Amino acid sequence: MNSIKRVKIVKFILSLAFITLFIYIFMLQTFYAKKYDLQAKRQQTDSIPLLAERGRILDTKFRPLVYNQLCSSIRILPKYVRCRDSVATLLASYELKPENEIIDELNTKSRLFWFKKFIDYQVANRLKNDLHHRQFDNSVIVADDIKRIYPFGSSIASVTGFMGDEAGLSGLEFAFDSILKGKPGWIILQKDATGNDYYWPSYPQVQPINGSDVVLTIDLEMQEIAYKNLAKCVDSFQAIRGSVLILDANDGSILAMCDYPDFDPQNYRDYPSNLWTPFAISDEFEPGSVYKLVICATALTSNAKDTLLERKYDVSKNILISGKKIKDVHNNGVITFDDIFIKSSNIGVSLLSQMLSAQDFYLMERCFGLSFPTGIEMSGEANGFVDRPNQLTQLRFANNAFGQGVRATLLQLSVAYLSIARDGQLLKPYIIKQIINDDKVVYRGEKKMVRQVLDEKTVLMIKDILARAVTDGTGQAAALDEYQVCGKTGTAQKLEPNGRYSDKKSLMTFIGFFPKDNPKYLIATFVDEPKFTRFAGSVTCPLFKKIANEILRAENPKTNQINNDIVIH
Amino acid sequence: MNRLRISPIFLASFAILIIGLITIYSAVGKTILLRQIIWTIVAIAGFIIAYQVPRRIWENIAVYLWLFIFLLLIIVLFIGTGIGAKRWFSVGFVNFQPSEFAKLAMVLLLAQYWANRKIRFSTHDLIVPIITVLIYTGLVFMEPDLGTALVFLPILAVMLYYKGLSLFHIFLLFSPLLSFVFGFSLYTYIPFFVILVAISYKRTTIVSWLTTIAINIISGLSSPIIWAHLKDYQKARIIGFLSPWLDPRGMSWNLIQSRIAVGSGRLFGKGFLSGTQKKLAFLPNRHTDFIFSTLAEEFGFIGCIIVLLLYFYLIYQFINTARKARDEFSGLVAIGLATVLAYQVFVNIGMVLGLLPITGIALPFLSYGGTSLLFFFTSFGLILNIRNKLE
Repeated sequence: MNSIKRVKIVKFILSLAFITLFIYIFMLQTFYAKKYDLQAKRQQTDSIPLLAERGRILDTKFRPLVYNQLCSSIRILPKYVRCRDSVATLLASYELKPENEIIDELNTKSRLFWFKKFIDYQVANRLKNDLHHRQFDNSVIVADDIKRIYPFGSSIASVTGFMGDEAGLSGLEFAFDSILKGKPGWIILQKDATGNDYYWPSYPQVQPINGSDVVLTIDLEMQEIAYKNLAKCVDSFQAIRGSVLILDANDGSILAMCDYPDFDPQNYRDYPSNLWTPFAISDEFEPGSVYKLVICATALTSNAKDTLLERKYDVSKNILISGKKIKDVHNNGVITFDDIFIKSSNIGVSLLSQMLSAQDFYLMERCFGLSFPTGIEMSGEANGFVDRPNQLTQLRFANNAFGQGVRATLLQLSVAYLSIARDGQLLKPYIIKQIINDDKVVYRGEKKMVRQVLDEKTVLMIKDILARAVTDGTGQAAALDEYQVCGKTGTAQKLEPNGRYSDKKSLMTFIGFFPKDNPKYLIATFVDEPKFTRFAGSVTCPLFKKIANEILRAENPKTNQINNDIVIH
Repeated sequence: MNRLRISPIFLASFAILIIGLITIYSAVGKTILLRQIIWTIVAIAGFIIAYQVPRRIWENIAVYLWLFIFLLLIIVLFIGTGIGAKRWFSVGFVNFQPSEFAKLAMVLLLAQYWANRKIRFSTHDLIVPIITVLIYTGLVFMEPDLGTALVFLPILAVMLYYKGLSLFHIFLLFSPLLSFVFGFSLYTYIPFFVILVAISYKRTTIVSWLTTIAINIISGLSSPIIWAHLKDYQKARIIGFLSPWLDPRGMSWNLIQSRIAVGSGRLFGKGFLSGTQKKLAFLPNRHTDFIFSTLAEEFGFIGCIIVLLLYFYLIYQFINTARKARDEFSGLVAIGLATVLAYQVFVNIGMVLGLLPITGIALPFLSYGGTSLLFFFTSFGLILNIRNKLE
């Protein structure tokens, strides 16, 4: 019996077995350790996002235009729903949806879906407990959510814009998304095998940074006044749409900007997308007679200024340029330079264009900031369009001079008129008054001059013309009792699909500022295709007047108050 | 009376015990640790008895012990308790697992039977050991406790080899078992069968050759039938071992979690009491069958190596004891107990690492469990008893 040899063989086999274990453990704990470490971390931790509160949007007096409400949203993972009927019954008992609808949804959907968004926070908490109690909480997920509330709803919807599921999709919500949204944080919790979480302070944790509040220059009272009157006007003329823009004539800040028809920011999908953006900023149109400001300024700054001012213009007959007839609505006879604008004579403007250089006209357009974005802090601003001087044939020049063939936004036109109110200074319009983060003002919007467009003397002459256009001319319906208004009407014929200008459909504008000396407000009104009338004088001028009067009335109690105070003391 | 000397082998086993107590505390805390300490005291009593009782008495009681355990194994099938099985006698807080002592009884019986007896590859010489082994295997398997049931087969094989049977004959002897295992698939069974027939041809008498073939055919065919009668959890364990990622939440959970625990322990471990797999209850049976994963997670590769080296040293010394034993009975007992120790260490750690299927078997000296501890200390006492006579 060679038992010694046998024992050796047994020892050898034992050694082999242990070496196998050694090598295997070594492999697991070195080469594969990373993989298993990762798997361990993945299954042992829960990362819980901490919502950053989205900033509010406030008006100039810090009244919220948009704010948040804590609520809850429910998502369902149908794959993990163990008992569809009892889940449906439970959810139905909270009156979220009818039971059969819930069962339908559970049966037809296979992926994670939003079951219901924005339910009441207290209700959701009760539901959460119920779900946990009955162990449905792995498939029906109730999570904190933040609902955006738009208390003034549609009257300012195009300015504030709206939110999608995650981010702002239009208006200021979109433009200032990165500032409003803040930065979400997260905590990592340890999770045990049954899915319970444990707070473990040594795990990394990042606090959320709340979004900043954005304070607008918009004044809610003026916005309401503008909106209310615009709506009435658009409705009564059965127009397609209308828009009002009110600028502070001192600094170019926007006091009101509204559109009608409007939309509900919470249900934006139910409205056509062209309503989602503010017309004054994102839509360019052929301005018509309001554009005559440019040729007027060109004439008054040209070398031939004196002769142009002295001579008379015969606008009694239609004139032909390159075979095209240029007409006036009324026969104005033989008129002076000023009257061309006061009466808004297309023939007169055409005559002027023949005496002026296209280069000068083009420079004046650019000086007024036309065909450039104004640089307002909102997204989707339209550029507008002007012809280059070498493209300006006689006919085109004449057309452009009375506002045909060029395009501008209501804001661009308002800013151009504002430069007249501001003694020739072109200002950059702005809508952001402040950005506030954590009670600290991190940004302050302020008046910014872009350039001096005209000298004071010219401005005074234009102001006079604009004042007389209201008192004696086309804009008489815009005249106010207390103050002298400077303004200009515009009635632009709309292009028909066949490329001709329509006789019936027109875009009506009035842009005016007041008081004449030391202007305070600039109001631009726009109505698209009003029925029953052909002239801006009967649509946008009365609208201007109503808005201006109401603004003044809203101001008056204050001034009275001050007067009373003075009396008392 | 034998005087106990503090030898390196003694220290090694106590080192494993201490590591075990530390790991149990880390895994499940004070209450269980206290129970294990009480069991340790009982186990040391068993150790002292085994150390003091003379070899001759062991030899004489072998048959009666075997019969006594045989009875217990039958009774436990009726009144036993356990999770999904009947393995323990429960008396108050104390659970006693007769299958643990079946190992000792089996080793003693085989040693007593073969001591001073020649052995050949013949029915006459092998029938009694094989039947006794099969009875124990069958009874423990019925509890069911597959891991422990299988321990009797290596005991038989190694003791036969030690006694002088050739490897070829042992292979023939165990060929029905291999047929059974390979019988699950024709692709494994047919090659095995061809090889078996080829290499046994001419090396045996025609009668035993034909007998071998017949038995192998029967056992090969029986495996699909027995598979159909396996308990679901047993099937699940086998399938889970073969393809762990099929159902990570279900039957392969233990395997995956255990590997994650071992792997994420890395070289130096996560530190005492800091194992996250263990703490967050991802590890199943973390103080019993899977205690090695707890250890590997908290003490890393270094801890594993220390424990493995201690085991290796212990088993090596058990085998040495067998080699140097003065009489054949002692040698057979030593090699038998060495086999039990080696089998359990290898099968348990192999299971924890995912090398072997999950069979539910304790890690000697380390796992929580009183009877297991008592058995290993008793057999350790016996080994030291035998060694005591060496010099």
